[in-house]
Amino acid sequence: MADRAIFQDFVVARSDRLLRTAYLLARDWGLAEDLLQESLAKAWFAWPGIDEPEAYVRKVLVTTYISWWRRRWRGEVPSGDALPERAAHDAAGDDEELWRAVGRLPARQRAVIVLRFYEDLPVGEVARLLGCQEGTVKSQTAKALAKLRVDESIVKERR
Amino acid sequence: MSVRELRDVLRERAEGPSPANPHRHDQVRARIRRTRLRRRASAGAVTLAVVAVAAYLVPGQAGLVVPGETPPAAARQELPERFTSPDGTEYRRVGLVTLTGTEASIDVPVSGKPLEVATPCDGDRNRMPVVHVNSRRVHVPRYGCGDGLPYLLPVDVPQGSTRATLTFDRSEEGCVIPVEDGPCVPEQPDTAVRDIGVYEWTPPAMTIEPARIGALPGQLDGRRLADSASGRWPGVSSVTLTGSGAGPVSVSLLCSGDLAQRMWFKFWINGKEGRTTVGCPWAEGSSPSAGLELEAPEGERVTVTVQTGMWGEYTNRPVRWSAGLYVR
Repeated sequence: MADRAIFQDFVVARSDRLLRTAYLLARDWGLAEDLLQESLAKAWFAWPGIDEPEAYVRKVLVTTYISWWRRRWRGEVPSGDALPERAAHDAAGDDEELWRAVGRLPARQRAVIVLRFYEDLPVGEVARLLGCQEGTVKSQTAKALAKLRVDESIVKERR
Repeated sequence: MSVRELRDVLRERAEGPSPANPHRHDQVRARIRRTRLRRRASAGAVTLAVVAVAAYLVPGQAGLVVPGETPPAAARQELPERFTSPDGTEYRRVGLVTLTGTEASIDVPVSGKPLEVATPCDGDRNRMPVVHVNSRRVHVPRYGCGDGLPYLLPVDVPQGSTRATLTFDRSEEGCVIPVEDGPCVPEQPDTAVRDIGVYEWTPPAMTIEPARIGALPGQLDGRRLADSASGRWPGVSSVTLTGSGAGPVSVSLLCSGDLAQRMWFKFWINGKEGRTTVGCPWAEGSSPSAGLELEAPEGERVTVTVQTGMWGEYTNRPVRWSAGLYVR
């Protein structure tokens, strides 16, 4: 069980790393900071019952991000219109294209990609974080990789 | 493309320079305090609703309007009768309504002073219902809760009015995508008992000058500052920034002044209309704003025209802003 006395130390020591995960999900440092702080605040209330603080905050981070993403369209702009689509252009390199393609993934698939290929978490751990079956994580990974046009045959499933 | 490349791209993006935030712990603690207040407010509001519904159980009633009644302690705490904003402007509550159904209305006196509405933030979004003034829909900026504060949203009232009927309607909900790649279906309605306060503020007798904004950082999110401009609202409403680099550029904003969150910025890239952003990071926090990414032709000179504006009344409450163009 985590002691609330270590909460501040945890924020100081671990939040930079979590911020980077949040950035990969939100793709905007400002939103990432907001997402991280919201997750840390939620975690604080559950803190005395948490065994693994970092894993717990990461779970809250991902689930909070998915819930935000679902509501994102509600934002209004001065004209009353939705934000215009970004223009595509051909000059970007492969890395830039891949980064943009990750940004086009649905929230859950993006979360799977970030957890598996940035956090290097095994399938079982990702399933636990997302509250789903391992099979779902595998199918989401496959769908995401297909959209990213990454060769799935060389993905080694870690269990 | 390989998984190794995917890993590399993720690592490169995530492990670039991130905005430092030495105040994060304090900001999280502030959120925790506000969450506690919200929870107490919800508990108080639920109690009020149970008592009120028992007293006024009328079939078909869409919402429960409680103007003039003593609000619960929690509502008083979050939507106080009077308060002074950080810039010294005096706010006075002229109406308080509790929304239990999909719609509620309230009549408020109009003195000619600017009117604003507020509802406590709960969860991760400010769920202010759609606002109608005398049956005319008012478009107000929708903020995320951000730091959890119940933002005040300006509403326009026809000139010369002495009273206005404000209607809050939450029947029009957003949509969610329950099935991957499926259609966006209507979101579960917000059924929480919700207090909404209507406030008027007294324009300060003299202009309140916002604090000067320091220089924008030379590097941000792996990009360098190519050009910058500053202004004050009301005042300059359009500036042009130029630079050249590889691929997308970003524009970072900083503002000072209590009404900074009401500023909007619209961008044109090489003359083509681009994105619009609402709100502007407050310069007092030492954390620089993350850049708003804009697509731009690689290697070519980029001209970004920034148009600014503000929602609502701002008499004697100007906002200073700075915008920086960052390129790779």
